[in-house]
Parts: sequence; structure tokens; C-alpha cells
Amino acid sequence: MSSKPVNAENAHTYKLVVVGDGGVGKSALTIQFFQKLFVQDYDPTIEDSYIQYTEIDGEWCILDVLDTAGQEEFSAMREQYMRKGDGFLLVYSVTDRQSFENISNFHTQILRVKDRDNFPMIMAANKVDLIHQRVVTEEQGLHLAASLRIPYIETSAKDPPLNVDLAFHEVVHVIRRQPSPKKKKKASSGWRCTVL
Amino acid sequence: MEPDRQEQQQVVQFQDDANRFWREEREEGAVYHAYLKKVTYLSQARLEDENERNSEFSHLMWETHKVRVIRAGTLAKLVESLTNIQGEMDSSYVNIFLATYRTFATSRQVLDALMERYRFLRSQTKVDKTELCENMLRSLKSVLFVWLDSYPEDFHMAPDYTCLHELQKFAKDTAPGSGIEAKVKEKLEAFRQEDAEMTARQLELSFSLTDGSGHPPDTDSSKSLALLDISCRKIAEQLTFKDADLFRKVIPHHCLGAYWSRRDKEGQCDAPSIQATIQQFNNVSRRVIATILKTRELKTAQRAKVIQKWIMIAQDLRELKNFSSLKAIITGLQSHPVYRLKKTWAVLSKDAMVLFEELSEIFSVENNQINSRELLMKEATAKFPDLDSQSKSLKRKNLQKRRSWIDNGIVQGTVPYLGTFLTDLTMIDTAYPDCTEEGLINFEKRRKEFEVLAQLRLLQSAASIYNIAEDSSFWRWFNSITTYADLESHELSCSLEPQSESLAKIKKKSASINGPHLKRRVSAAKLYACFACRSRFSEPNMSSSSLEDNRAPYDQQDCLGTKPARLDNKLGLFSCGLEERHSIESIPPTIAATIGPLVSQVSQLSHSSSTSSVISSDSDSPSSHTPFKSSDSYVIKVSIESNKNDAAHVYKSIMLLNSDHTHTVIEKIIEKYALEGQADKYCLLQILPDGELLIPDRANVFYALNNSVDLTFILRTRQEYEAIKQKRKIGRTRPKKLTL
Repeated sequence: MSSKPVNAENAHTYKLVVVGDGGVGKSALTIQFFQKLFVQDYDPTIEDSYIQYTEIDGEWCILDVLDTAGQEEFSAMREQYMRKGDGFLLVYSVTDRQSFENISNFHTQILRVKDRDNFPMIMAANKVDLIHQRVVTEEQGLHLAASLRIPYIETSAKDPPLNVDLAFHEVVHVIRRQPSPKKKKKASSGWRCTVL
Repeated sequence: MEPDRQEQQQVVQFQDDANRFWREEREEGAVYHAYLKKVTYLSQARLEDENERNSEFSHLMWETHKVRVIRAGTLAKLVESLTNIQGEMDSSYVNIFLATYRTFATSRQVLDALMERYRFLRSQTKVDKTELCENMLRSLKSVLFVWLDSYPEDFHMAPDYTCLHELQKFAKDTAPGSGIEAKVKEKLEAFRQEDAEMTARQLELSFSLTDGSGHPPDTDSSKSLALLDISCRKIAEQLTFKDADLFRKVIPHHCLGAYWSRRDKEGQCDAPSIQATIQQFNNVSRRVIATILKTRELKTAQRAKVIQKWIMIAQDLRELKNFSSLKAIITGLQSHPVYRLKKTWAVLSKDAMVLFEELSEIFSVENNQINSRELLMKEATAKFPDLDSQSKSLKRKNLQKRRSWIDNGIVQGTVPYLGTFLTDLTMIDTAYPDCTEEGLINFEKRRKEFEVLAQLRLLQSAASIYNIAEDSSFWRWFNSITTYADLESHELSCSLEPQSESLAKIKKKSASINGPHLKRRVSAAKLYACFACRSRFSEPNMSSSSLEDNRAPYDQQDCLGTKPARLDNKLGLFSCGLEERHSIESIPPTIAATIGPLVSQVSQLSHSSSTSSVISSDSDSPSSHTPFKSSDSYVIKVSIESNKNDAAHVYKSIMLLNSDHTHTVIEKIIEKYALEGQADKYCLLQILPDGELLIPDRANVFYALNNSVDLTFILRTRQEYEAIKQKRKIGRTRPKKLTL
């Protein structure tokens, strides 16, 4: 875990939610992101296991990641988790077509819960290290990402990891880029409530 | 890998027990950590004896033993470690090994390794009969006993029972008269009988299943009525009966990542005991959603009753320490199709809302679900729950309950929410490799996993404490409720309260605001809102009241709706107002800071014209602290209801200070418009996109208003307000009660 910077109090917190079918390697991405060095210290039950202070584009922020790997079958709960997210990492495994086809379901569900026609999300094609077992091509991934209008990234949590940090950071980028970012300043677009 | 770090950790861990890390030891097929342990030199019995006679030898009573802890090894080496250097059974290691070995070996492999080890030691004793070898042999036999007793299912391999037969043969040949033979025989008989019963039960089960699915779906309204007819306690108890039963049957090692997170692959392990628990969880959530949504022909207030009922059931589950169904109900209530029914939520009683917020807070995902983790640890083996509430009335009620639990010697079991354990184990499984770089079994990983399994097992024993009988009529009702798929639910929900462009935008925003930490804060505004529009609930639940008459008096207030309604009558508004203000003041500054940016968004998006004439409110909007309204005053626009058509276009600006209470503001308006009459003849309402928000009489307007939308208000006489309200058929006599 990175040490807390001096200005942590001012850092913005981004709640990132990792979604995807069981077995697509969500937990591996999360673990890789949080436990780079000290696997021996890892304890999944402590308070700040999934919180990271980090600097993205020169701006300190707190990434608070929610990964409910292992609870996929508790389907009734998905929307509840989705409601909490500022941004989402939609993960599928390139070795599992079903998980790829489910991505658009997750996408739809998030938009429904958020009641918007777009929301900060990125699509992560995971396990790309398993070249021989790959059944979903990059082209297919890109095509789906384009139709959902979300960024696409290929990831692997195996050693050496590929794009793991980038994937999480990219979600933050997308959140920051959205028209009305969760920043202190008023957005330039959209409705504005004028108060005298 | 960072050995230094590991070692340090271990040293710290063991120092308390007078253990000191010494060195890492490697041999063919195993890596150990060796510790030096300070132990008594004399046996405990002799020690006590000596102690009484001459304490001057106390300095001679200790010696240092070497303790080896295996960190990684081959199966044979791991089996070897079941006995320690002194040849005694290492019971804590045996526990961990037996709980987790299935991740790296089959029962047969372990049994073979054990028998192999036994035969080897026995051949040794023939050559060189030592005490150590004898000890080891005895210990290995103990391990077999422990294994047979704690994990009989490992040997339950119908119809051949190969392992048992193998063991029987082994016992006969190598350890005759050890008792193992008898034990094996006993198990064999038990299994055969169990299997016969199981077959019978399965037949029965499949019969009852077809029975359930063949049940004709009832008409929509009768379903929700039935729910209201069953007492909350009854429902909570039956759910707990089921949850406890399913949870006790969960096979802990099936929760291990090696099984559970690989459940989909090539049918490795489908973990039916876990699936059954999850299924029941989803069943409850879906029924919560279904009973609320299938009320199309009901009025909003009646639908709110169904929501309220589930909240009360949730509270009963909290008292029963059943966190599984409790979470399932909260999940159902927070599912999008139910959560978005703003008008319905706005009609809920204040107590029900407070309760809902507080119960939801238990399952906040903040800080790695610290709330639910701590609560579970605190209450897992406690006799009864430690209820707490922000609301004074709930607090009082809880205290009464507590007293009665103590008086009546009531002890509750516990059912945890299984999902948290599944995730923790999945994460451990991901974080730690199965094998070391040398290809040895990484036993350290198993130790980590065992910490979680041990908790599960403890909770399973806590789940056995309940004493609830099954009521099959309840389950017939429960199973007969038809449920909906996600999309279907969403469509139903939209047919109950249509989506509108502007509403949709607000809702979306308030949803993200209503994060767990913000809830307490948000609830203040929410409370005002529902307070303003709520209708009273009478008690439709006669049958349950009579049922509960023989219990302590508080129990009668327990079931649906009675308490909140009664409370209103007795305590009236005054205390409510106080509580709400208190909850506003108690907002931590950190939360206020986080909410700021979110609020600004709501404001930007919620500029819209009125879309609905029903008195309602955007109840989720927080009250103050928007970054651009940082001052302690607002300028609000107030119109008076002179002409129903265009009144809203004529308004006057009123300066609103953060200390202004409702009557002060009304007086200002009266002065500005030069109206006649006393302030208490009027009521102040904020105009919201989807209705009007009545500002309660004794409220601090600055905090009570909804500042996420335009600050436009309307002043109505109570008569007018009353008339409109009657017309809208929302609730009955609220405003009268508002006049104190």
C-alpha cells in the first residue's frame, strides 16, 4: 500500500466497482493492483485492504475499489453494488465467450441503475496471457467496446502483469473526463440551478 | 517473496507465547520455520506438586524446546508434521490440515499417506523400539479418529465406501484392537442408514418441489394482502429457521477459493450447500421486490405498507441475529425497481425510515464492510443482539427488549451473510500461490484460509442455538409468490411510477448521493419529507397481535406499523422535530465535505418544471453545504396561492437565515405580502419538480428545504392545503397534527 501523502485530506475519493462473471479473474486484477509487493501481509478482512492513495495525472486521489468476487450468484445484490460506483471496470475473460457476452448485460444494468445513457466505465479483456485458450479476439472486444461507447483495454494479472494499473487509472480518467465531473467546481454544461 | 518480512511477522506473532523465531530449516521436500519455545521443565502434575513444596527451584522449571512449523512441503512431509518433534499430535496443525487438505490432495491420497507413515514408523519400532516412535504411532491413530469424527463425509463414498474399507483392512492388519476398526464399522453402518434416508428424503423433496411449482399463481393483490396478514415475527422466524438450517449445512471447505472460485470450471465442484444458501438469499430478495411491485391496483399508501412491513420484518431478523435474510431484505428494498419508487417511499413513517437507514447501514460496503464485520464479530456468540438506534423511540424500544431478553433468559443464535466469507476466501486464494517456487504445497496459504474457516465453523455452531419449528403453511405461501426477472421488475416499477426525463435525472443523482456514509446525513431531509406527506398506518395485523398477546407488551408494538403510528399520537411532533435537528447537527464535517461535490451535480441537473401534482418530495436531497451556497443564508422565492393557475409566476424574495424557523419565515412572508391572520394559519411548502414539500411547523427551514432544486416556495392556508391533500387522497389527517 502506498503511503498516505500529506495532502490526502484534499484528495478526491473515487469508488470503482469491478464487475464481471465469476472466474474471469476480477479478484486477480484487484489483488494485483493492491498487493504488488507484500503478498505475505495480505488480509482480506481489514478496513483498508482495497483503498489506495495514488497520484493520477499529477492529482492525488483515493481509489476505493469494490470487488465482490465470489458473490456473483447473489444476483439480487448486483444493483445495490452498482449504485455505489463512480466508475466501473467491466471484466471478461478472453478464454470465456459467455463472460464476454455478458458484458453488455452488465452495461445495461449499470445504466438502468444510474438512470443515464452513459456512465464512466471501461471494458477489460482479461487473461490475455492465455494466448492458446483465447476465444474472444481483440477485434471482437474492440467492436463491442465501440458499440457500447466505452474504452477497451487488454489485461493480465499474471507475472508480468499487463495494464492492471492502467485499467484502474483509466476508469479515473473517464470519470474525470465526464461532462459534470465529481469535482468541486460547477460543470460548464448541463442544467444549472441559479440561486440568487 | 520477502523472507525477512515474513520472519519479523512471525516473531511478533509468537513472542507473546514465549516463542522465538530461530531459523528457517529446509530439508528434502519441506521448508520449516523453527522456533524456540519456553516450556515447563517438569510435567504439569509434578510441577504443581513441587510448586507447593519448594518454590526456590522455580528457575529450574523451564527449558527451551524447539518447535518446527511447516511452511511448505510435499504431501508426505505435511502428513509427517501431524505429529510434532516429541511425537505428540499437533492438534492445531491437525485442525488446519484436515480443514484444508482437499485443496491439494484427495481423501484417498491423504489416507494412503497416513497409512504409509504408520507402516513406516511401525517397521521402525521393530528395529529400534523407542518412546518417540510409540508416541508417533499413537498420535497417528488419534489423527485418524479426529478425522473420522470431524469429517465423516470424507469417507462417505457411496456405494463402495472404498476409503472406509481400506481403513478397516489397515486397522485389522496393523493396529488391531486400536478401536479404529470399531469406529470404521460404526461409520459404515451410519452411512448406509443415512443413504437410505437420503433417498427417501430426495423423493419427498422432488415431490414437494413439483408441488410448489405446480401451485397456481395467486392474483396479484391477494399476495400482498397475505404478506400483511402474517406477523412480522412469524416471517422472520421462519426465514431464520431456513437460513440457520442451510447455513449449518454449508460445508466450510467448499467455501475455499480452490472450490468456490473454480466452481464453473468443468464441473469441478458445484458446492450445492453454498448454492442452496445463495438461492434462499435470492429467493427472499426477489419476493421482497415482487410483493412490492405487484400492487399495481393499490394506492401508494398501501404499497408503502408493504415496504414498511418488510422493514419491520428486517428489524425482527436483526433481533434474531439473522444477517442473511436481513441483508436479503435490505437488498430487495434497495434494488433499483423498488428504490426508485420515490412517491411510495415518501409516504413511509419516520420510524420506518430511520430503521431502514440504520439497517442498511449495517451492510455498508464502506471500508471493506467494516460495519458488518465488526457487528458479526461482536454478536456471533453473544446471547442476543446489541441494538442501537439514532431514534429515541427506537432506542427506548430496544432497551425494553434487551431487558426482557435478560429477564427471560433468551438466547439467540446467529446466521451470518455468507457472501463476505466467499469473497474473503476468493481473495486469499488469489493472493497466495498454491505452490512455492520449489513446487512444494504452500501450507502458509492454508493457514490463512483456516482463519476464515474457523470463524465459519464457530458461526455454524452459533446457528444451532435457534429453537424454531418449521411452519409448512408459511413456506407454501412463500413459494407461491411469483417473482420477476430484473427487466420485468424494472418495467413493472416504471408502470407504478413512470419515469420522466427530469425525474430520471434527479433520481440518478440522488442514487449516487445516497451512499452509505451519506445516509445518516441525507436522512434528515428525507425524514422531513416523509414526515410531511406520510399517512398514518393503522394496524391491519390483527391475527398477529392476538398471537403475541401473551408476550411482553413491547412485542405488540413490534409488528407492522403499530409503533410508528402510535408514537405519533402520543409524542406528537415535538420530539420528532428535535431528533431530526439533532441528526443534522451530528453530521461529521468529513461527510459534509464529501457530499458537497455531489450536491452540485444534483442542482445542475434538476432544474425542471413540475411534472406531478402529487405531494411528494425529492427526499434524497441533502440539505445544505452546497459549495456555492456556503453562506448561512438563502434567498428564497415565495408565491402565495391566490390564483391557482398562475400563482407560481408571481413571487417575492425572502431572505432566509440559517436560524429561521418555520413560523419566523411565514411571518416574514405575511409581512411582505401584507396578508392577514396569524402565522399558524398558514403552511409553507417548497415546490419541487415532482410535487411539494411541506416544511414542518417546528423545522429550521434553512435545513429542512431541499436545496438541490430551485428555492421556490408557496404559502398556503391550512384550509387550502387540507383541501388539496384531500383531493389527492394522500393519507388522512396530517396537517391537523402538525398544528400543535
